[in-house]
Amino acid sequence: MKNNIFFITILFILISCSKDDDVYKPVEFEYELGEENLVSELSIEAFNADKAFGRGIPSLSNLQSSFFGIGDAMFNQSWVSSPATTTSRDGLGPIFNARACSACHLNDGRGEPILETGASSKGLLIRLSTGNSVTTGPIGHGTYGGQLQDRSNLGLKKEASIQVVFSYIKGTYADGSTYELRKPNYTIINENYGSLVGVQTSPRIGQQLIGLGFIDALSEASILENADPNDTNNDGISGRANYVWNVKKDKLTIGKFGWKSNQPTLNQQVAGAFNGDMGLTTSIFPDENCPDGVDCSQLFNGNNPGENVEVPDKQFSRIALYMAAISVPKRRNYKEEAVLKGKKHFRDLKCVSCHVDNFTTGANEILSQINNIKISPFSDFLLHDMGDELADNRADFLANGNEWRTQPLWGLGLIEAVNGHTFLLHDGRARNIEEAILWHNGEAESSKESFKQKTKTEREELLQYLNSL
Amino acid sequence: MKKILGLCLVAIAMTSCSDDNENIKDTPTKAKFIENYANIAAANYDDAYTTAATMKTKIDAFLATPTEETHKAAQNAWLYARDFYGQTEAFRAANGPIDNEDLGSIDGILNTEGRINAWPLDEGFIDYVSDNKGGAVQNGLIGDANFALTEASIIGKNEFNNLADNVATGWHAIEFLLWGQDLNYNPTTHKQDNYAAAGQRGYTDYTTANFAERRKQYLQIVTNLLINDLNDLRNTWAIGGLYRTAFAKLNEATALKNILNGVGFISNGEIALERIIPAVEEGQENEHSCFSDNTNQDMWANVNGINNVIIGSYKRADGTKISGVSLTAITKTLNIEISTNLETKAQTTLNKLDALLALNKTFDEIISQETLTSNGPAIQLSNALKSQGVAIAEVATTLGVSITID
Repeated sequence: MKNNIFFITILFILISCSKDDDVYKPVEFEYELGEENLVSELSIEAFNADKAFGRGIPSLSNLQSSFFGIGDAMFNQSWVSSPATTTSRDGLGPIFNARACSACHLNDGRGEPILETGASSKGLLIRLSTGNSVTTGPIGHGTYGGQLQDRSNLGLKKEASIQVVFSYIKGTYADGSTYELRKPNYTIINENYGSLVGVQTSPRIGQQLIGLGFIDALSEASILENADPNDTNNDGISGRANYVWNVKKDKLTIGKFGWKSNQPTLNQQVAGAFNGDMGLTTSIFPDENCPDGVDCSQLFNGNNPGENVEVPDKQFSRIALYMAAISVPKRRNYKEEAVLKGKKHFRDLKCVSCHVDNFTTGANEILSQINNIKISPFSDFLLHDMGDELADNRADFLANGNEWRTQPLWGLGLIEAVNGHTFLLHDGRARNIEEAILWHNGEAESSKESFKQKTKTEREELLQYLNSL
Repeated sequence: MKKILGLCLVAIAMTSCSDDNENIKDTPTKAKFIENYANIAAANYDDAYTTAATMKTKIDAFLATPTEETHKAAQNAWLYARDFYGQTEAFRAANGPIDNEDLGSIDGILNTEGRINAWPLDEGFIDYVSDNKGGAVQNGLIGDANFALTEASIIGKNEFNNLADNVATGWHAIEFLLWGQDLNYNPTTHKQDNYAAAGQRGYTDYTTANFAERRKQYLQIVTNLLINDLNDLRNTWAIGGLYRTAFAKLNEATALKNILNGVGFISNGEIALERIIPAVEEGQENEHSCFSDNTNQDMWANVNGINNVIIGSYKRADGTKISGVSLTAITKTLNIEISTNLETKAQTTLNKLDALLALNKTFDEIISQETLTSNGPAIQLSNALKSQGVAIAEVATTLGVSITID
């Protein structure tokens, strides 16, 4: 508030000096030229909900657009178990979470939590571990590995099923209005390969896939610029980088992707999803994910003659280009007064300290068009302590059980149009943006508390701004 | 090819007779174009249903008495009906009943596309498949005696929860059950280079083979389901139907946007980018109707379905013609250049289709000889469809709406 008063005073002085003081408007409410373009001129229009998150940057060459189409087809189509005539789509399993990328990222959008026990997942999976090494990452379970696969090919048993129970937490705003948060408690039931009692678990939702190439193109230095691991500026917000195993480079490099910044590159993130989520091998992760007691060398795999992985490098490069090329939709309603006021609240509440809106990309090896582009991801891609309530208590390289990567907010307001829901946060617990804000604790505690002090109108303005992103 | 020529001859004869009935002198308005689109969609879905109903009677006859003749008749009926369904793909991605997921907004929404035409098919999920060593693997639902074969249980297995999941129903499931895998097996050379042959499933799969009774049940269930789904589509588009009524109430800009988004996306995003290019790049069997080797004909149907909307005219199964105000005609009233460009791009697309069909080779053979950069006939058709998509987007802008074609 102090800052505000000071600011208004300055404004007042400035206005007094200006001649046309009848057209007075606080400068922060103003539209800034080009602010709707979150990836500069490579932003796209979101005309249709089902394509709002699935369109490529506008400057693809004819050949690149062909690769984009191939990647798009690969993304949407189901993989099938071997042997099959569709030789470029076989190799699924033996155990898996989904048959297609689009099953967890429908329309390149966001997955949904499981809302009742026994319901089929639309993009929720559970990570497993029995410990963590800061250099090699989480230590998977001896039998189940690092991720629970709740589906399998015919003739094999899936690993287990997921049970969910909700509890409810009530709270009150300063103006007396109340809210209720819903906390899921996921547990694993019907284990088919031995008990999982005592294993660390972390439920996670599939994220929307916009702007990933731009994030991939961020230099390590540009991310570290926002890091403040010891909070030397005493703003209560630290923010530190995760360093994770980079398979291709054979060393630890900065993490950018995943809920705990636990993947270093877009390629490794995609290869990890192929392997863990669908049971498909790549040159990055060539080992079949095999259930205990099953001799996978005796099962059919999807390797074509002369190849030793199910998604060979050439095929992989197409989906990698597709992923890298998916652009970010332009903002909507960015000139509306409420949205502009919301933008001011976003800054006043210091949301922007972590949800950073100002980066310039470095070099991208897949698409040179996205080099040196000014972007507004609204994330610092750093780890922050988000408090005990949100914690999964499961370490992941340098990330501890309380820490999560700041989520990029670009495209936030389009999730409902694209996916028909507004479930947010790592396990989909928040039923809308307001609840997501209210779950913020730890380093975000004071921002959250300030939000709760705002009037209903101000809170609405902030939400309108977030929905415009 | 013979079938197409036959249709064309009938069409020419009919066209000559029906010229007087065409309202080509109507002043082209957006409203008349929209109404004509609805007439074409209704007629096309009606034909898709009636030709598929004929297919069902042939399949019923085959299942009652499986012989080489009844088997062949069922296959031929599938191929014929497929031409009419294929044209209806132009009405997809248009916020219409076939693939709109927003169940609450408009009456008549069915969202049954995944059940009707999902692909690629997990053939091993349904029935036996080759182990590529001369034997077979039976892991599918037909071979699993513990799986009760009912419509509900099979729907439950198909794209469960609207996820792109196991494909167990629709045109391609029936195709697989009628033809079996197309392995291109050449018994002389023992190589997989015999492109002329489609799937080789024998009628004995329905008499003496393992699981013959369950295979019959499965084919019967998925055939009935397809017929019911097509009937729902026909009814909702028919005059007085739930969707037809809702469509008529849409404001002009919304209706135009839906229509053009559909044909623009199907031309560029779906057929050019998602179906042709991956097939060229990723191998011979990444083609739509791979079991029956009917993919050339799928291209014919898809290209013509889009063209029907552009030229405002559709040739029905009975040979009569539905025609009215075309997309190019309403565009011409605003911008002759943009309209002419679409006409040119649409004609080029038809020419490239003809060139592909004139090769008289199966699609799997055509793509086996192409790469993305070799500029072969399939890639040329893809490029023409892309340019046609761009031309449709320009038309949309001219008409005051914005669409997404990729």
